[in-house]
Amino acid sequence: MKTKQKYNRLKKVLKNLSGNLEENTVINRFLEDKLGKINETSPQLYFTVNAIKMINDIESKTNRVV
Amino acid sequence: MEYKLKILTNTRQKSAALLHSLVDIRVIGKTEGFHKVLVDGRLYVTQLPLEVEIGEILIGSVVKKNPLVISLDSFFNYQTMNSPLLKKILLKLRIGIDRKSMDAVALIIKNNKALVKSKILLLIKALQTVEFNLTEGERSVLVKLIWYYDEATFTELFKLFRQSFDVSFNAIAGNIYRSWLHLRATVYNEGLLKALEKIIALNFDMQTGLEDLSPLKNKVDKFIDLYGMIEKIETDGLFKHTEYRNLKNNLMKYIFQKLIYQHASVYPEFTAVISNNKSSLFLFKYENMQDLSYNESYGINIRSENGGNLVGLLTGKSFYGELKNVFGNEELVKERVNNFNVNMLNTYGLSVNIKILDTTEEGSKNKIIKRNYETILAS
Repeated sequence: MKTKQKYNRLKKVLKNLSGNLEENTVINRFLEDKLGKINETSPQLYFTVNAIKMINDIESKTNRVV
Repeated sequence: MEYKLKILTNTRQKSAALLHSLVDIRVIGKTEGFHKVLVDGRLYVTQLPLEVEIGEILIGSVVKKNPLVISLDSFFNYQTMNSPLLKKILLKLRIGIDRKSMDAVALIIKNNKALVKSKILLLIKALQTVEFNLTEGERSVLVKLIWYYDEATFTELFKLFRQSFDVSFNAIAGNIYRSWLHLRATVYNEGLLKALEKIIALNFDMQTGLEDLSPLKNKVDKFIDLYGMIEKIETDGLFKHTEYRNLKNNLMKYIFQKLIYQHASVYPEFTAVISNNKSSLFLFKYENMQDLSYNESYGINIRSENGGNLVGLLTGKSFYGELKNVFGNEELVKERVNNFNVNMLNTYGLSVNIKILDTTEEGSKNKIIKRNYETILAS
């Protein structure tokens, strides 16, 4: 999805924040800029998923519950 | 990024400043890319490595006497940051000394930002204005916004910050996770449940052996769509339920916090792990450490809701970190950590070194906190 499309959808969300922030041009520019820079892939994914697996495995084996 | 101010010429007077001493730098004029500055009252001409207005005051530390070189954001000789140092800085800047102003200066030094008077005053004002407690990570985000933008722009962005950070990211993640559990238990809307589950749940029970890793990624785009989906359900009059309002509110806070955190190169995230038909919440955070001169390095903090916590520094070739052993079974933990290390080395060529911290060990929690990836632990 293009940034502009994403931002148009986001504006509906922004509308629900109090203070009429959806009309704030500085905030609009900031959000659109950041939306365009979201990094969908992460070089840390393989590490994270394996680390989560390890911690989850230890917790299930030790039957640790909150 | 380290800023060093090198003095190019002076008025033929020798610098009286001592090595490693603090000096105040007053910007009194600009001509053709050069700045006229007063360093502790003595006139110099230099090129400041950052944008400042005439009349601005900065604090620096003398790193070389001849020629005079002043560091503006690296206070390595002041690692033992203490009250006398902070008071001295505030005194030189003529800013009132109290707990809040001292905290603000300490925060700036920790974040390796230049001690610019107008920015410090803005930070103090912002910290005084927020109506809720901020974690160390959230305070760092404020610093990065203030130092990046001019005052007028920051003032506008601060409105978004105040509306979005009244709840910590981890609390928002916990709320979305609980909404998912609630939807699962009640099945108000199968379509919504499935949509939310696809976005957040990492299912280790899938028989394919290949998990869909998208629940580990940034969820902003998908949550914007999900938000629209809930609005449509409400508009169609199918459901008007408190749970939906709560979920919408938390999705909204997630979206705005993520976009603001992104500016500070901090990436908090969460996932709901499904394993053996049980579920648990995992919070994790990446922090780009390039600011601290580690190339392509990330501070990583992974925490489960059950207390398991791995903190460390990941580079392209290695990981050094600590695992908090809240599990008790030392042998099992050692074996699993060893398996993890071998797997990372054999599969990805990543050299992993994990120290197992016994939680009964005196001060072990503090050791982790001092790693500066502390917001997850602190919230």
